[in-house]
Parts: sequence; C-alpha cells; structure tokens
Amino acid sequence: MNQEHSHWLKGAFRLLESVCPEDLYEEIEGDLIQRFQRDQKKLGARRARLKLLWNIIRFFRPGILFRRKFSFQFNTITMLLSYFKIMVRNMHKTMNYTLLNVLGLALGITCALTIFLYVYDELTFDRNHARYDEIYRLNGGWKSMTDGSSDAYTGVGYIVGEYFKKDFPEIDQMVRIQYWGMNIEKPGTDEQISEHTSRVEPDVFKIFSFEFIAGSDRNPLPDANSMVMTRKTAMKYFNSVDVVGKTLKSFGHDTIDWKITGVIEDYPDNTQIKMDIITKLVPPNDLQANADWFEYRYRTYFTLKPNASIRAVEDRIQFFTKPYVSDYEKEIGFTQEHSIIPFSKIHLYSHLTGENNPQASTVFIFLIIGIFILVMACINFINLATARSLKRGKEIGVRKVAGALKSQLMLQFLSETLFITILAALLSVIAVYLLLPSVNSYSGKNLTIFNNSAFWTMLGMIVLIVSLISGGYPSFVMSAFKPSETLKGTLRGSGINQRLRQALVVFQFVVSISLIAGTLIVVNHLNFLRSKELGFNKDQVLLIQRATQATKEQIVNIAGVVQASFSNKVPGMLTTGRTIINGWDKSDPQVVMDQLVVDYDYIDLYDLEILEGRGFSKDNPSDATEAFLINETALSKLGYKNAKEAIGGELWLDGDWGDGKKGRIIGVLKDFHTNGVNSPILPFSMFMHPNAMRVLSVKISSSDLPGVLAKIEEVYKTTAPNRVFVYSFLDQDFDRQYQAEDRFMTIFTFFAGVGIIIGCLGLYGLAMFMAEQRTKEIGIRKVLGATGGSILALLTSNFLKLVAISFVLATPVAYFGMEQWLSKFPYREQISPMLFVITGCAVLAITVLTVSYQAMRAATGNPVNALRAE
Amino acid sequence: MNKPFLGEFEELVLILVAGLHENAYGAAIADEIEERLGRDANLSAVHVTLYRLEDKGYIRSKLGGGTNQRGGRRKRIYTITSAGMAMLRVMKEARIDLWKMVPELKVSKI
Repeated sequence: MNQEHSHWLKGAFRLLESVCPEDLYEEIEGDLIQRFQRDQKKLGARRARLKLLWNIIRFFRPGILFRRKFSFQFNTITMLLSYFKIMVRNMHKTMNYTLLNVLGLALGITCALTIFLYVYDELTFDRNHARYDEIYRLNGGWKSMTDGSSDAYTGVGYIVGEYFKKDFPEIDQMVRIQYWGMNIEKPGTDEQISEHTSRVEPDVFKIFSFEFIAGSDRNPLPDANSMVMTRKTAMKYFNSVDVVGKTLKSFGHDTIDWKITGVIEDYPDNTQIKMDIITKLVPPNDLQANADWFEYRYRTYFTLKPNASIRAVEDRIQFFTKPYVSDYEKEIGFTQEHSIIPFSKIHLYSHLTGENNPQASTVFIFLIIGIFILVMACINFINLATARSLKRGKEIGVRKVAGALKSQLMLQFLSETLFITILAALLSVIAVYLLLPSVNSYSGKNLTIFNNSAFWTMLGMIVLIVSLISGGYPSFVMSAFKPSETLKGTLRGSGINQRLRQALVVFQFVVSISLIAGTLIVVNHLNFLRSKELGFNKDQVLLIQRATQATKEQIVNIAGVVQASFSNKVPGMLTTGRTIINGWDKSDPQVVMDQLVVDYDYIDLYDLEILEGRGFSKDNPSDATEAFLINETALSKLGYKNAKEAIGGELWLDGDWGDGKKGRIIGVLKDFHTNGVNSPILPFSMFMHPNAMRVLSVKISSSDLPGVLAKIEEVYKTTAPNRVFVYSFLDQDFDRQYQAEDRFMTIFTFFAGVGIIIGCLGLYGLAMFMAEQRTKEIGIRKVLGATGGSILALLTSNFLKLVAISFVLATPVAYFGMEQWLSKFPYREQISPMLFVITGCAVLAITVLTVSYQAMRAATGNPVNALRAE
Repeated sequence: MNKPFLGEFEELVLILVAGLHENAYGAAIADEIEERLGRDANLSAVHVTLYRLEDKGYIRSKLGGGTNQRGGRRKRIYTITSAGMAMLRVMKEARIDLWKMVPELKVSKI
C-alpha cells in the first residue's frame, strides 16, 4: 500500500471497512487500489487520488450497506462478567484517575441536574391549567398626549371587558378576576387574619383548571356570598376539608357572612394564578362610564372561538376603544393603550407594572451554563481517557490477536464508561437531594425529586448522553489500536489526538475564564448598586399603615423615636400615573408627575436636600394650602432651565384633591432615587394636604429595636383601635429590590466556582498523565544536569501557552456577554479592563498551582527510578 | 425481487463474466465495459451487480490470488453457472426474435 496516501484516504478506507460486509471488503479494497494505480498512470497522482476518494464514497450505497449481516455477537453473561472484572481491576490499579473521573462527572451531573430542575420548573409554569395555550390576557395602559410618557398594567377597567367581547366576534369566553382583600375571623376565636382574596366571574372555572375536592364545579359560586377555598385555607380555618355549608365572617368595609360552597385542591408552586379564597365578582355599581376606561383593576382573560385568529384581534386591539372614549381622551389628554399577551407567555415575558416575573434571558442563561458544565465534565473525561488509553495498549493488542472484533472492543469500553457514569450519577442524586433544601429556600421554589418524573427522565437521558459522548471517542480510538504496535511497544499517540486534546483544554479554559470574568463583573456591579448614594436616609425607618394623628403625636414621645411623618407615599413607591397642570390657566399643558403629599416633618425625616428655595414651614400658613416643592427631574418637565427659575412657578392640581389646588413652587429638592437604583428617577410635586395620612414614617435611633417596636405597637393599639398593626422597615423593602441581582450573583458565583473546579480537575489529571509520560525524558535530563527549576518550567510551559490562547479567545466573549447584561440597568459602571487583567492573573495562578504540583513530583523524583527499564 | 429477466446492466455484467473466464472480477469487468462500450462503469455499481447476480444464482465466486498491483489484496473471481448460461441463451433468443421485426435494421418506407 502506497505510504504516501493522505490521512483522509486512510480514514475513508477505514470508514468503508466498518460498514462493509466483512467477507467482501478485501476484494473491494483491492479493486479500488488497482483502479487507482491505473488512474495514477493515466491522469497523474492528484486526480487519481480524487477519483479514488470519489470511488470510495460511491461504495456507500444501499447495495453494500444493507448486505451487511448484522451478526449479533452474543456476548454471553460470562463475557460481560469478564469485562466487569477487568474494569474493576483496572479502576483499582489507577485509583487516582478513576476517582478524578467519577468526581468530575458527578460534579458536572449534579450541577446540570439542579439547573435543569430549575429551568424545567420555570418553563412549565402554569401548565396545570388544561387550556393553558388557549388563554389570552388583555393588558391596559395609558399614554400622555403631551409628553409621550406611558405605562402599562396587567388589568383593565370593568367596562372594557364588556365592549371587548361585543366588538370582537373572535372571542369565545371572557372572564375577569379582581384581586381583593379582607380580614377573616377565625371561627371560635376573636382573631382576624388578613387575607388576599379574589373576586371572579363564574366562567373562570371553565377557562382555568381547578380540581374540586368538595362541592361541585357545576355552579361553584351561586350567590353573592358564596365562597370557594383551597385545601390549605380550609385546614387553616376549620382543620378539615369537609366544610361545604359552613360559614366565615369577614370584616372590611362591611361585615359579611360567607357560605362555603366548594373546596379546591391546592395550586402547585409554578403557576401565576394563586387564588386561595374565591368569591363572586359583582359588577361595580358606581360605573362612571368615562373614567372607568382608564382604570386597571380587573384582570381580563379570554379564549378564542375555534378557527379564529389572534392576529385579527391583535390588529384591531389598539383602536377598538376609540369610538367610546376618543372625546374623553382629548379632554384629559391621555390615550388608552391596549395589548394582548398569551397566557403561556406571561410568566417569562411580561414585565408590566406590578409584575414580578423572572426574565426569560435569566432562565436561558442558566440553561446554557448547565449544558456547558456538563460538556466540560465530558471533555475532561474524554481527555483523560484518551490520554491514558495508551496504557491499555497491551491489553487491546492481546484481545485483538485472540480474535476480538472491533465492535466487541468498543462495546467493552463503552460499557466501562457507562458504569462510571452510572456511579457518578448515583453520587449526583445524593448530592442533589442534599442540596435541594438550600436551593429551594434560595430561589423561593419548591423543587422535589421524588414525585418528579421529569427529574428521573432527565437523569436517564443525561447518563445516556454523557456515556455516549464521553465514551464514544475514546472507545473508537482504543478499538483501533494495531496489535503489532501495542505488543511491540511502539504505540504512540497520534498527532490528531494531541491536537484534539489541546483544543479541548483551550475550550475548558475559555469557559472558565469567561465565568471568572463574569463573576467579577457581577460582584462589582452589585457593590456599586449597594453603595450608590440614594439621596435620602433610609436607615431605621419604620413604616406603619393606617395610623391616626393621635398615633403620631404619641409616638414621638417614645424614647428612641426621633421623628414621625405622615405622607401618602414613601421613597420607593412613586409612580407615573398622576398629572399636574403647569400654570393656572385651563389651557396650560398637563404634565405627568407624581404627587407626594406630606406633612411638615417629611423633608427632615428623610434628610432631603433643598437646592433652591425652602421647605414647608409652620411660620407661613399659606404653605399648607398653596405651596409646592418639586424635584430636579421635574424641572425640565415643567420647562425650567434651572432651579432658580422655578421658584414662584405656578402649578395647578385638580381632580383628586378636591378643591383644585392652585399654588406656587417654593422650593426645589435635590434629586434622590425615588424608586431605587434600578429604576429611573421619577418627577414629582410635593405639597401638603390633611387627607394624606396613609403611611406614617417613624425614624428610630436606638440599639434596642424590638423594645422600641413593642412600645410603638402599644401606642398604635390605643390610638387606632380595631385596626391591624401592619408595619415594615424601609431599608428592608429597598433591599428586596436587589434581591434578584443578589441571587443572580450568588448563583452565578457558585456555578463559576464549579466550572473552575471541573476545569482544575481536568487540568490536574492531564498534568499527572503528562508527568508520567515523560518520566523517562525527565530522568535523562536530570542525569545530564538539568535543574529542578528548568524541568518545572519545561512542563508548565505547554499549559501556559494554552492558557494564553484561551485568554485571548475568552476576553471578547466575556466582555460582550456581560455588556449585554449590564445594559439593562439604568445605573451602572463601565466594565474596567483591570477586571480582565485580574482574571488573567487568577487563571495563570490556578494553572501554575495545579500543574506545578505534578511537575514538582516529576522534577524531584530520583532519575534512577525513572530510567529503570520496565 | 427476483424478476425472471435481467436488467440491462445485469445482462452486460453477466455476459462479461462468461467471457472473461479467470479474469472475471470487479475491476477487470469495469475496465472491459469502459474499453469496449465507451461508457463509464462505476466500480461500486459493478460490484453490487455482481453480488445481486450471485444472489440470484447465475454466477458463483471464489477468492483468488492477490497481486502487487492491488497491494496484495486478493481478487474475487466469478464464474457463470449453468442457470446463468441458460438465462443468457433465453435473453439472446428473445432479442433476436424481436430484431426479426426490423430486417436489415432499416425502417420501411410507407
């Protein structure tokens, strides 16, 4: 056989041999070669080679492929047992490597499983409703005609649903759900529990799926005082689910006696429809036709008739309200905006005001990380296996000489891989079981593995895929060893394998570097958010709902209480829904600005800074009725170039505050973060009004918080009898904002760590192998006078080169990815190159540490031992 | 799929097997087709046809000697069986019969 034949041809021949019937291959190969020789003389070496390749390819045809008699080599039990025995012996001999392999795989599988559990949970949200992909939600919103600002909400007015159904023949059913709340008295006690409830229309039970365990789903809410509750709720109030016919009393606006007409099964965690107590929705009787269009309290869902197209509805949705409200719209200066979203998409893709859904991108990022970690673990395995495969050369040679078929050898090695993978998988299951409680508490989910068929399916698939990937290539390589070479001892790893191994190592490094860089950026960003100046003082501020003037007066007398102030909102609660007229003339423009209604103590309590002018003062009685303050952001909205200009400006508030307040600007506040660092600063006007007593802010300065709190509660109970003492701390409320980023950071860091560990494991294994391979070479070098240091350098230089390449590859990838993530935040810093320098140094350090341990051992070994012939 | 008659290529290959005697193997048959008929015969097509003919029982095969030209690989030599011979005879007579309809290979004028 002509030794000049290129690699490709050899490979093609081998491939043909593997699919060709055994007894026919020799003559086919002979004919091909004969043809080739003839072509070579006629057409020259180059064309002849091409023709040869073409001829080989043409042999992949049904006439040949299907002739192959699939002889089922019946590996009897004995054979399999023998494989098993050999495998165990082998594993025992090379305990270090085996452990590395199993651990690496276990780590990878554990992470992958956890991530997949989480992703599965998110992606199967709401699937407990049978008609899940038939339901749509109608969203509402408004847009200002003067300055274009807008907002969108998850609900619409009551009246909207009615006209919607009328105007769109495509709609089959339309239902509304209104979220409500009431205080319910626990039967047999005086205790009242504050509950979130829902008021729904009866068709809700036809669109969404509820499983009735008591009562029937036929007419679940026959009367206005009927009530359906979940199993959990029934147990809470009655300690039984047999409660149909019993009554509960609620206190709110009025006192109502409810009759329970049904009990439904508890809802799973991964659904957005979480209704514990359901009552009948009664149409509001104070329907002011016009204003009701711009109200957003009713969540409206609908289904389509068969063969109806949602496109048709979407196309007309923007304009359907025009015939009813366009006059009113012109009057108030706002237009009605509507949109439609399929129910199945809400959880990951809807982020309207009031919603707290995760980002779809987050879920997908984690999915990708999970896959990458698994791939890295497989790569480790492949690298180690192919590297060490040379050691088993003799065994393979003997087996082949004794008559083993290639397929048998492949079966042997694949089953070895399968066994190791199963071992690793078992470890993973235990690990996942142990980790799940912390994962659950962290993510607020309730993932389980036991009743979860999805989990076991995923496990099975992972085991299969990992074994195939990790075992396939090494098995293929090993089963192709030539007995002549292995038994003579001249077996050398081929060049391709070396290259492949290096490529795989580079891949791992790239992933690790990206993860490290990403983590550093995330941590940096979070610190930035945390430490950013908010512009107001949120420490030790207690917020109390529904207090009275008496409460405030008495609270300030408590030791430890510095100040108290009433307002309608506190920082963090500002919205965009309000307007103010920029002048005292009816024709002056309406500007969208929120209204912060306060008392004299507010500015002081929150340490707000006044840029120009002054705050409210008791010395000027007109302050209470005619004075406004605005913040900096409001300046440009109102058309003022600077703060000085704004002083004395005219503002006119009409509508809700009854008397149509006309007043002047007496001061301009320095901007503070009205809604936290992750939202833009909203403009507002600040004024005083006696009706603004919704929230009482209490500034505390004490080291005995619980004590002060107890005293405050006492005061509340005496000054606001029959009301429930509800309170919260402002800084906790604010921190909750960063919760999402906080969690993201922790989880990201965790997985970055895992990725790095897996990478290190792989590196360690490779270094170990390499040191072993070159023992003889190192021995000789030492004998010839090389110092320990130079050998160390020699061994690590290989890896360092790879690290450098990976760094160059990884940096743009990491930069781009993190830039995408950061761009979503309104306030953020630029990614500093310093970060990448640190990453590079870290990776270098890790590599050197990992490799040098092995290199050290090799370098300091006794050359005599190394050179002793085997 | 054992039709009582042979396809055009199958017939061709069968005749050559009969004619080439101890040189009746894949590459040689393909060479003959190219030289005598001037049409390209792909090696794989010839091989597959030979296998099919053997399945039908018209030829039998044996591994022969290897040559240097083939890198030492042995050839598989095919010989025609009596069934094959009979089939060829049948086909040849059927064809001659048809040709009688067009004497001297000329189309008669009307």
